[in-house]
Amino acid sequence: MIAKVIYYPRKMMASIIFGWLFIILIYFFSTNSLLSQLQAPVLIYPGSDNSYWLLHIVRIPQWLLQHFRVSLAFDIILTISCIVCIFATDQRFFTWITVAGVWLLYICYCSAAGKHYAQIGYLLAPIPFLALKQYKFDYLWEGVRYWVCFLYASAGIYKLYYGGFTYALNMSHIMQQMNADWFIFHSRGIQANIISYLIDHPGISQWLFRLACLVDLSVIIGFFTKKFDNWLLLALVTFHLGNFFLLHIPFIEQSLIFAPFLPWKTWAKYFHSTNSND
Amino acid sequence: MFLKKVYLQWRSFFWVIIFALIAQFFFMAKGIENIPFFLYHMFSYAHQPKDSFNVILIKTQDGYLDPHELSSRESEMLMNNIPYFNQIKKNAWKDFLIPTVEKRFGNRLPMDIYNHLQGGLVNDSMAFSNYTSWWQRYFKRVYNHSFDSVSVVSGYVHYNPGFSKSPVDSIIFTCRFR
Repeated sequence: MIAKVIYYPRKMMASIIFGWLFIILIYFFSTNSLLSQLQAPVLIYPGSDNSYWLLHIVRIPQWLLQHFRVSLAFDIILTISCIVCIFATDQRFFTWITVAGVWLLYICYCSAAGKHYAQIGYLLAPIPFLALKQYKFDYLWEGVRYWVCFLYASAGIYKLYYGGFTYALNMSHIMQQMNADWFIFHSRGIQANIISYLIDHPGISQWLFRLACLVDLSVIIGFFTKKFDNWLLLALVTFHLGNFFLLHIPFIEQSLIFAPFLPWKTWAKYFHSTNSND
Repeated sequence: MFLKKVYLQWRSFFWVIIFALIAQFFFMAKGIENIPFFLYHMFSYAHQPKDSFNVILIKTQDGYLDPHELSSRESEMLMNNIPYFNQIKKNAWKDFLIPTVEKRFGNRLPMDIYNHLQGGLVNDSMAFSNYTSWWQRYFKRVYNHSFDSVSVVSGYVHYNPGFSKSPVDSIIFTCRFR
């Protein structure tokens, strides 16, 4: 008996992923963080990252950031490309523009903000759609999924290796640091009370840290099976909600990183979605 | 299993994965972040206790502005480059990246190419002198306000237990709107 291969529903996924990315772009627009809204920042911060260096040496971020008409054209082209990708799922031209556009947007924003943010979910999820052949898309999508597994698993291993897991006061100190300026303005209320309680009870807060470390490490399961993807997804969303509530780390841009754990094949059966034509 | 399937069906992608894995481990070993090969430390180090925490605040005639009222993207763009600007100011307006550029390219390239590379990577005096004007423009865009002036200040917050802010601030720069 030959096992039937179930492919990912590329078309349906393209519409959802680029729709999701479009919502993120709308969020950027509503929060004054598209390139044309940044008011031509003057400082750059390439850090020691080779990718940033390469682009800055050829002056691409400077050119995009310093010329309003160029940055406006960039924002418009990126947004239109993203919309086209939602509806025209079997083409590569606009997908390339969207992928290149979000990477440039990310590098320009981080350079101008003076910090290289690790929120790169929206940079990775669109990449597999550059492949039109079904089997290539499937491998790329699985590759992104493994990369996400590696990302969280390595974060868990780092917490063990660098001693954060075993240091009893670690989470209390992290919370003090992350909430120092927040408490100037929000010293009352349920959230403030919970944060204060956890800072004053390092034993409890450190167990939360250890739980987060176990969530990171649990993603190792994802290397061997997809059976538990729903649980991993739930654990990761809870982990990021906890980070948001206790440490004020947002994850809207990062939210696309959860996409590889969604039950796409089940949805495809439910919605009778077709694969790519190729 | 995945790699075996990729090797059999799509050889070029297999080698891309192998290259990416080697690159990731190389950069992890070297401690270099190289997008998309991130070092996701995610607070992995043991954080030692601190007596006080440095905070950057916006001070108006009505008191401090809460940057958490803005979206995270706005407050990041408005607030996160200030410490960088302030450090360079304390460093006599010399960009901290100059020694790194020198280490990587110094004495290896002709002077004109080296100067061109450095010009693309470090902030020059023009960038520093225009910084506060840019900051003022972006501040006006994200805050609906009618302030005559605002100052960006550096202060300290203590925890003992409970947070308390030291009353002394040092001004980094002031923007006048009228």
